[in-house]
Amino acid sequence: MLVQRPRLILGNEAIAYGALASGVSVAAGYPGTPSTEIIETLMKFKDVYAEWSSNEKIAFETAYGSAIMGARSLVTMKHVGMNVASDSIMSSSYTGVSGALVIVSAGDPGMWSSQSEQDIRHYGLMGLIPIIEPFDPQSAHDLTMRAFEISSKVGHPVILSTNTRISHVRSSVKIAPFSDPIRGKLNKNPFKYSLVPEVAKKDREEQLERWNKIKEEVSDMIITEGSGEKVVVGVGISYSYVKELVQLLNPHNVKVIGVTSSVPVPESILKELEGADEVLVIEELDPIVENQIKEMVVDNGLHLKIMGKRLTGRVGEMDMDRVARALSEFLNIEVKREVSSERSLEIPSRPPAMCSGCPHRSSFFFLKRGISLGGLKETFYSGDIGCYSLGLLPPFNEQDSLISMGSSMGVANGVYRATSIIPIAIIGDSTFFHSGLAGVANAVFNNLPVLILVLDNRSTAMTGQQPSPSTAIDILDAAKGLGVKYVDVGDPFSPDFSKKIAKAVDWVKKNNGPALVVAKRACALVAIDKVKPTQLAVVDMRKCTGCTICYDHFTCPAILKREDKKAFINPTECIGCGACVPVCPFNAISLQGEKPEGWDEAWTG
Amino acid sequence: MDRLNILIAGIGGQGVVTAGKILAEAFHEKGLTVFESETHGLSQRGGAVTTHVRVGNVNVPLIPKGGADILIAMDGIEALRNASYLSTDAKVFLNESVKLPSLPNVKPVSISYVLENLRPWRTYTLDCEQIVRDGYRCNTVILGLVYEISLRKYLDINDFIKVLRGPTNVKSFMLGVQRGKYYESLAAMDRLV
Repeated sequence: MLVQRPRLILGNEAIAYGALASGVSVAAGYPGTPSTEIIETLMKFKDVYAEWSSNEKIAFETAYGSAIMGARSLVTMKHVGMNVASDSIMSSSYTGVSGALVIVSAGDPGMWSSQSEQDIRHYGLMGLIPIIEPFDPQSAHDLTMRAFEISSKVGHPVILSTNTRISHVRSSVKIAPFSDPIRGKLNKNPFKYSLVPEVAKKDREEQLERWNKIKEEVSDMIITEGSGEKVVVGVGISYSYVKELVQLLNPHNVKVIGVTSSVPVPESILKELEGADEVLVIEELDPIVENQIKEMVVDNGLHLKIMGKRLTGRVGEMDMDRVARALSEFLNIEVKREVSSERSLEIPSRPPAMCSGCPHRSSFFFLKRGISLGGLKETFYSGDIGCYSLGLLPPFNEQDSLISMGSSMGVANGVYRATSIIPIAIIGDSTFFHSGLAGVANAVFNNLPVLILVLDNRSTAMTGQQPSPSTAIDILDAAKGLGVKYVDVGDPFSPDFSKKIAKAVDWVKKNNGPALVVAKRACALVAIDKVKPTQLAVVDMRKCTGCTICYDHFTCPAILKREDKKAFINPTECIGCGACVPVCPFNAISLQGEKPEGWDEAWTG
Repeated sequence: MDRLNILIAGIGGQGVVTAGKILAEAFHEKGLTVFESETHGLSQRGGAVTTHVRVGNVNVPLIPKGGADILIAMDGIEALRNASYLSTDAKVFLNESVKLPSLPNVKPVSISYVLENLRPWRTYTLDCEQIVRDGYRCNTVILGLVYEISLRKYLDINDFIKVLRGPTNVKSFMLGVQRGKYYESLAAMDRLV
């Protein structure tokens, strides 16, 4: 085997390279933190087909369709994307596959950028799909290959469960040589893949047979170190925490077991528990491995005390402090912590902010104005998932709910049915095509008086500006096709935008049906990537009255407050978009410098 | 060296992630085990960002509270937010400025309040605004300073030069090294007095 020098790469890149070493030929995904870089890496390799699909279900079905033709395929998503894809994923476990199908789900314990933590390993228990859990970027690479191997050998989907602390960590990885992509060929077998009840009943039997084979395949997926009557089991990333603390504390009489197959837990672990009297299981989120070990212990009539979540807690990311606390209680030893005195300091929180030049800031600003112009005294802002979720924060406060991709219109429907207050459903362009279309159809079908505002920035901006279907399909045409009678589009940087909102609100009130307005302007980061800005917004101090509107109500990060309350625009942060110009009621802000060539085109994309 | 923990804190857009990557690459170049972990929230810009860099005999990517040997802070408020990560004899490298969050009616925080609260730790300061005005890259200048004061015993200067991309970065790094030498000479004079 070719020996390569280890490379410093991200866990996600390590997974992509593991797939390349396994002969992946088709890969699909929907961007979502922290999973995104896997598809981005695969897109650099021309002999692999890699795409951003419109949602996770379509991405999964793409990979599945290839795998039932005999190809080796990969699908990636974040943990909550599993919910979107789960309908088809559950069926894939019935039919199995003929090539190999690896599903990567990247979790976000601690919810750095997600609506929930959600332990996706429940899907493994529910759907009889094995869950492989790496513990660092190197194991992510190696276990991706293992996942492909199990999947192709058994003919069954396999889930690789990673998380922020593996996907977004860089470390040295020894990369295996790439294999030629394994493609499929047309192969029809409706009596296996078409789940009408007759077929499903037969497939269910076969699924259980495959499950037994999988139990054998994963039997070696445990790592044992040391010996003793006290056993600490670490699962995935938690195994790394246990390893480092055991090195630091050097307790005697302790055995450490790392588990990399969390569903099903290898039954061989029972042998390793012989002679033990107490076991501590450390894993993130839910007691998935803990409960399986308890079940095995009870089934085998062993007398063994199993501890886990009671000592580690089940909220948030695992960390050294949590594991140290659990170990100190379990091993009855004192763990010295070198924490410098924790003092309470008065420091403001710094939530993420919409970028300088973000069109959504202007959309929210003029939306509020437009609603009051349109005569709506009160409303409910039914929000959705994307950068614009930040509209939740002050000064906008224009996201009263946001629970999942595409939920804005369904929730708005419920709010209206309960209160008869006309709601505003706010959705981004990528989210609109991900799962908003069904919501529009429902609003038309059930005649919902709602203003649907599509914040179209021509990209899936939050995850790094991946292209969105909005660049290929006109949102107005889609809405008209679904039967929306009132459609309009405007530029959120223009003060006329509030008039467009007012007109649409008025139409909703008179016609008792849905109206749709698109706020269309490219993501600022995409625009300044295309054209280098050369103009700047400047405040005329003679005209500025210190009214606070631009920094307290518009809150562009480039606009700062001077000690005399007047505004000052930081030239290193201003991109010269001009969004703040119409915001100032005293005309104190103007653009200075030459407009660069291609500037307007860059913003309309 | 057994373990070295370096925490980099700042605001999205200040080069926090890039600085962590350069550090990790330099240690990797030397053949040391290194983990570099990015911790950031929803948006690309404006939010609080940290990068954990751990080197040596380590298995996990995150620095425990009280475990950081070095804090590189690109902003005063972010330095204070991460002070609980500092070990008792940690060194702090601080861009001496305070950027208030983009929220309405934020109570101002002064740089003197920041420095007052960092008093338990040896703190080296820089003025990034001036550095940028002079045509240097601030995150790389800080890395040069950190190298000269704290990393010389683990790395050769060439480990860094190899991973710095472009002449501006090398020039900036060398400016930081000079600043470090200046600080060291001041410290030496202190000891003489």
